[in-house]
Formats: sequence, C-alpha cells, structure tokens
Amino acid sequence: MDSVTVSIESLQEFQVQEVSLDGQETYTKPLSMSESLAKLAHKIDFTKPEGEEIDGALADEDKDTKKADVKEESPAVQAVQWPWESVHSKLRCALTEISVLSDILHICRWAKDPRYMVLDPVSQEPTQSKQIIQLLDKKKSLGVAASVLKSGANRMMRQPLNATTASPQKSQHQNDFHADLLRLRQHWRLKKVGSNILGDLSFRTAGSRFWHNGTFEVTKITDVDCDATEKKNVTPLKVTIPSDIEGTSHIQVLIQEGEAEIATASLSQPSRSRVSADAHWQERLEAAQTVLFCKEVFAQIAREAVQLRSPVPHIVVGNQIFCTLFPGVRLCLALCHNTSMDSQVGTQSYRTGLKCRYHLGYQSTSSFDFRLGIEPLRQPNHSHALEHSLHQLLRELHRSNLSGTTPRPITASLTVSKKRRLAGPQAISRKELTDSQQGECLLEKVLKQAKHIVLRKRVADVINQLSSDLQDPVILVHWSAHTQPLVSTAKIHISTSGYEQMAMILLQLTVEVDQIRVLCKDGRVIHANYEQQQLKDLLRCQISQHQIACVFSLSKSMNMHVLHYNLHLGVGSASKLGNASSVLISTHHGQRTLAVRSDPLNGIRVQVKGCKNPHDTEQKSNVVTDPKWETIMTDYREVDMDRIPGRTFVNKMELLMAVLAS
Amino acid sequence: MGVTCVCQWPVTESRTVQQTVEMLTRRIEVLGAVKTGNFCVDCETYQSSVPTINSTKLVHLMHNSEQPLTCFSITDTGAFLVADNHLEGIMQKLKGFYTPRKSARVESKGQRFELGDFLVKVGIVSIGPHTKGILVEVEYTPCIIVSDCWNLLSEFMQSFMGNQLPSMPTTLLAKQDLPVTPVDTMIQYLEHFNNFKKGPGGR
Repeated sequence: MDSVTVSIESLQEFQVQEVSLDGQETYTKPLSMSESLAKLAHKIDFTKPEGEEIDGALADEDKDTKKADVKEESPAVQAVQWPWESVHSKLRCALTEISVLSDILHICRWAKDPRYMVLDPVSQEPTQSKQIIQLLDKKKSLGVAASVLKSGANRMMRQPLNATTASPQKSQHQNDFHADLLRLRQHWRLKKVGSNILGDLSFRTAGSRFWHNGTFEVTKITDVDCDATEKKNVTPLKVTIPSDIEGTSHIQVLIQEGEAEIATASLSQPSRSRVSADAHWQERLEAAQTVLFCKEVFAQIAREAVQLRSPVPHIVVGNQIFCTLFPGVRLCLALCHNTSMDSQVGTQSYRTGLKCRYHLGYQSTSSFDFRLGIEPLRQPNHSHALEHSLHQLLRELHRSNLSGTTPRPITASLTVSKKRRLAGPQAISRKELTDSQQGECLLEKVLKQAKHIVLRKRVADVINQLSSDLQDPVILVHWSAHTQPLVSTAKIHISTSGYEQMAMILLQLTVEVDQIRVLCKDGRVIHANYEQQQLKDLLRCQISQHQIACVFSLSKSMNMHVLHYNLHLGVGSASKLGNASSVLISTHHGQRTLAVRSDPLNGIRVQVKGCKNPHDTEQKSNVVTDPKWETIMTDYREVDMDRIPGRTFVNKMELLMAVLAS
Repeated sequence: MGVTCVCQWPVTESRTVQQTVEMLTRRIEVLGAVKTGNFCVDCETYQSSVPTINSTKLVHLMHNSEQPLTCFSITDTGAFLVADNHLEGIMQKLKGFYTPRKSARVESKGQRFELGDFLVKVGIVSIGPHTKGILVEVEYTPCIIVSDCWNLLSEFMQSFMGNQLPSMPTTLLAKQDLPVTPVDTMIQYLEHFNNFKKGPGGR
C-alpha cells in the first residue's frame, strides 16, 4: 500500500530577500526572540535621561532612529557577532561613573583621614531683590483690589438714582431693610427661593407632622412716602403671614357642671390677646406660630376624640369638643382664634374674621353669630393648668417623633425603648409587658388630669362645707404641697377644741383620677367614688364615733367607771347610716349612770339614771331614811343637751359628769 | 413573680403520661381553676470545647414563656445570668469556645391554670421526641418570701396532689428569708431536667 504524502505549507509571511534565477525565493528569516530583544535594546539610549519632554522624546526618537540607521551600517558587520555590544558598552560607562562617584563620596565623607579630600559648601551669591520691582508688584495688586471695591460702591451709590426721588432717607431706608432682615434672621429660619424670601413658622424641625407648612413671605416696601416714614417708625420690611394663621389664638378648656345644651354653649370667645396688623413683625410672627400650634393641638385632640371609645362618646362640633368626665360634669375644649382686626373696625369684617373654618367633616355647623365683645369675657372655669398641660403634651409628642431614647450601649439597635431593652435582664413577665404596651393618647391624658381636678375640687368643697357647718368637732385639713398631675393627698384632723388629748380622728385622703382612697387610723382603707355624698357620709360616721370616743377617754380622766363602750352598737334601732355607738358610764359611787348613744344621722342622746326627779313629790317616809333607797327605782331620763352650759359637746359632758359625780 | 415550687409527678405503670396529665387537670379544674393558656420551659445545653483537665464545663440556656423576653443561662457550678433573648446570638458567636451539645433539648410543655392568687402549670417533659415525665409547677404570686407562705403553698398543693406532697426544694431551702427571683424557678427546673436525663435509676 502506498502511503499518502501530505504536504503542509504555511502561509507566506516573510519578506522576500532574493529571488534566484530558477524562481526560488529566499525569505528573510524572522527574528528570533533574542534577536528581536537585541534590536529593541539597541534602540535604548542610556546617555539620555528618562524624564524628558514628549517633544524632546519624539525628537530623540527621530534622532535615535537616524542614529540607528547610521549605526546599523557601521556595526552591521559587528552586529552579527555580538548584538548586545552597544548596550554592554553603555552600561559599562555608567558603571565606571557610578563607582568613581562612590569612591569620591567614600573618601570625602567616611574616610578616617580627612587629608585627601574635603567637601566644602559652595557659597551662593544672594539674589539681589530689586525694590522697584516689588513696589510695582504691590501697586498693581492694590490697584486690582481697589477697583473691585470701587465698582461695588459705585453700584450701591447708583441704586437710589433709579428710584423716583433721590433723597438721603432712601439710603437709610435700604440700610434699615437689611438691618431688619438680619434681625429677622436671628429669630426665624429664612430661605431664598428664586427671588422671594420665605420663612418657616412651623414646628417641623421640632418633630411636628402637621399638614400646614407655615411659610411666610418677607418683602421690601419700595414705594413709601417720605412723609409717612418720617411720621411713623415703619420698617421697610414687610412680613406676609398666611391668612389662616394670622392673628392670635388659644385653646379654651372649660369644665362645666350641670346640664347645658351643646347648641347654646358659649361659643368661641375672642382670643385673650390681640395683635393688630400694624404691630411689629416679631409680635405678629410669634402670635402666628402660637395659632399654628393651637391648631395642631386641636386637630390632634379632635382626631383622638373621634377614634376613642368611651362609655359616653365624645362630641366634636366645629371648633369645640365635649367630653364627659363624670355624670353631670363635662369638659369643653375650644379653639379660639381671632384675626388681627382692630376692635373698632365694623362688624362685618370682624364676623367674617371669626367664622370658624374648622369643620372636621363630622358635624359641621353654620357660621356662628357672635356678639361683639370688645373685651374678651373672663371665663371663670377656664383651666390654665390644663391648657398648659395640653401644650406640654403636644411638645412631648413632637419630641418622641424626632428621636427615641439613646440606646446603651451605643451600638445596640435604635428602635426599641429603654423599657423593652431592660425587659429581658429584669425577667419581666408577660402580664407586665402587655400592661405597659398600652399607651395613652393626648386626649386620654388630658381627661385624666381634668377628672382629677374635678375630684379634688369636690373633696375640698365637701370638707370645707362640713367644717363650716359643724363647729363642734373642729375639722382641719392639710393638703400636701407635693402634688402630681394625677394624685393629690390630704390629711384630715378632727378633734374637739380643748380636748385634743382625749381623742382625735386622723384620716389620710388620696385623691386619684376616679376614686378617693381614705386611710383611717386603724388601718382600714375605704374607697369612695366621685359622689360627694359618700365622703360626707363617711365623715359623719367618723365624727359620731369620735364623740363617743372622746366621752370614753374623758370618763377615764374624770374617775368614772366605764360599764360599756361599743363603737358599733347592735342594740336599739338600727341606724340608717353606718352604726350607732354608745358608752355607758357610772359614777365612782355607783349611784348614777350615764348612757350616751351617738347616731350619725340622728345625733347624740344622753340619758342619766339615778337622778331623782325634783318634780316628783313623794312622801318622805320616816322609816326609810337612807338616800340610796330613793334612787333605786329610777329610770333613765333624757338630758336636754341644749340647756347644759358648755362650748362643745365634750365640754358639756364634762360638766355633766362633774355634777353627777358630786 | 411569687414563690414557686416545681415538683415531679410520678407516672404509674397503669396509666400513660397523657392520662395522668388529664387526671391532674381534672382535679385542678374541679377546684375552680381557669385555664389561661399554654406554657413552655425549655433548656439547651452547651459544652465548652476548650479541653480542661477536669470534667467538661456545661452551660444551660433556658427560656420560660412566662418571661418571654428573657434568656436564663446557668452553669453547672451554679452561676447564672439573666439576659435578653439575644444571648443566643452571642452563644452562636462563641462557637469556638462553646459548642452545642448533641443531645436534644429538654422542654416542659403544657397548660397553665389560674386560681385566685395561685398559678398552676402541668407540663409534660420531653427530651427530643421522647416523653420522660410530668412536672407540676405551683406559684403563689403575692408573696416572695418562702418562709411566709410555704405552709399555704403546701396546703394548696395537697388539695389536688393528695398524699404525694413534695418536700421543700433545695433552692427554696437555701433562700428561706430572701426574696425569690425567677432564676430560682429555673434552677429547680434544671435540677429536674438533669434528673430526667440521668434516667429513672438516678432519681
């Protein structure tokens, strides 16, 4: 079998060196790796430094190529022998130079014998500064600065010429505007939008999320009469406040007792203070900010009033909110707003100014008909404390919107509150967690505070009334100076004047939001609710027991024998309120007995046994002469306490006992 | 958090664990208790991977549904730490030093009853998929001093436990006049879990 010959021919890539007569081409051999490297290395010129300019480099390259062309011819014969020779020679020159330098340095600096060569600094000639040049330089730069300042001054001088009248007041006018603007900027946040200057009245940066953006505009009054400026002290700076927050406003908080129809309830009274449109911009801006704040407070409360579920639903009417605190007691919150109209202005404008815009969409009422009151009526029920606490609560809300508490350590997660973070290590139970998670909204807090105020006032009324009605045991009450918004405490002392050592009632009252806690001296805790009668009844019972206790201790000091003493009597007719108490005392000689029974409602009855009725005429017997036989069969006879002299009941009893004992 | 006593209820041969639990539940409900949910107490053990000459150190990480945000870690020497739930994350980071033991976690799960001031929990103890026994926890919430209310507590336990009244646990014995904390309950649970792990022989 013949093998097939396969001929492989590569592509023609090489230059033809010569073509022989028989047509065969001889190609130039391609440069091997070492040969191409040698060619490139040949091109490097070791005498030229590296960091030369590009032009220079290009020029050098041209020179190099030319040199290379020239050199190629001369060492063309030698290149065959040793292609690296030029590189070698150049490097060798460089090496010699370096070694010479190193030797010199060695001899000069580090040789032990400095005789051979020493390096000396070369003194340089000082550069002679030509003062004239410096002067010219300075003059030139100063001239440039002066021209800038001068052009600015010319511009400022030229401006009043553009106005209608050129007068010296005008320039001052301009200065006033900028001075005023500077003062304004010290108080309020201003920013320039296009060609307008806008300011910010809102509480956004403090954490508020109210929809009103509260921007006011600052403009310059350009057309002002000279005479006008002379007469009044008017600043050229005009502040335009949006009409819905202009004027003054406050939140009126009333606690109303008794029945009152909503429709005829006192409608929005004019605000406490007035700000006229001509007032200084600082006043107007501050008043406008208060208006905005009050609006936010009212919006927040109104929203909560609708969302809250309570036994008696809260009513939101226009700009008033009615909430029931206790049966018969109502809290009324109203937003009072008046625009900055003068009081002498006609009725129509005033009325429109006071038309309330706060409809809220629930129950909108038509525009109210006001009576023009020049002076705002003083509301006796207006609670300044509650209004202030409303403001404070909203500010707290703002603050909580801004940032939470700082986490400790700082690297912990930001979102959780301090309570939650401590719940783990303190092993808080599930019940405590759920209790703490239910937060309270603004309205609930205000309602609690209002309830507490009402309750406190009621307790004070009851005690004052009782102490003015009853003179016999003196009722003293000390209200604690340390109060909290939701808890107040008071101490009641009931004692008979002159006989404080005998017996005294001490009661500690804790007035909370819904109830009153009474702590008696013996440790009993009694809860009373908002009804005034309950507390009155309790005090009456305590007083009746006090009288008997007084008589009891008095009898001991009067050397009488106590036969029976009971604070909760089980005999006799049952008392309608509490329990009757009684004490049975006999004189030391045993002949007379005194019985005192005290009923909280029916008063005190004193009876004596052993006193002979002087009106009884009996035949004196000659046989029975011992006086004791005369007193044996006597009954209890009632004593008329009114006819016994004495300041107080205990005083009378003392007298009675003294008489009986003799 | 009041004085708590954890005791083991023996499971007789005649009944299964479920039946015993049902019997106990019925007794408690007859007394007038109200079921207020479920509870779960579990324990995971970590072993120190640093080899020491003595026996290996163990750290037990326990949770109690009564304190849902807390993680209790107790070592076998008695030291304990009450921390937030994120302690588990820290243990994960400490994988080089403490490795979780291969044994499955022990837990006691069951129902929770409230009767006035008392809290009764009947739980079935299981190690992994196997049930091991029953643990009854009785708590008297108002009081935190053991010596003041132990008599009352034991009398209450007698009313539904009958004659199988437990003696005072060692943890409470040590703290007669000191206030009781949630960790003491967890230590009691841990002791019982260890007993269950040792097996019925090592009680």
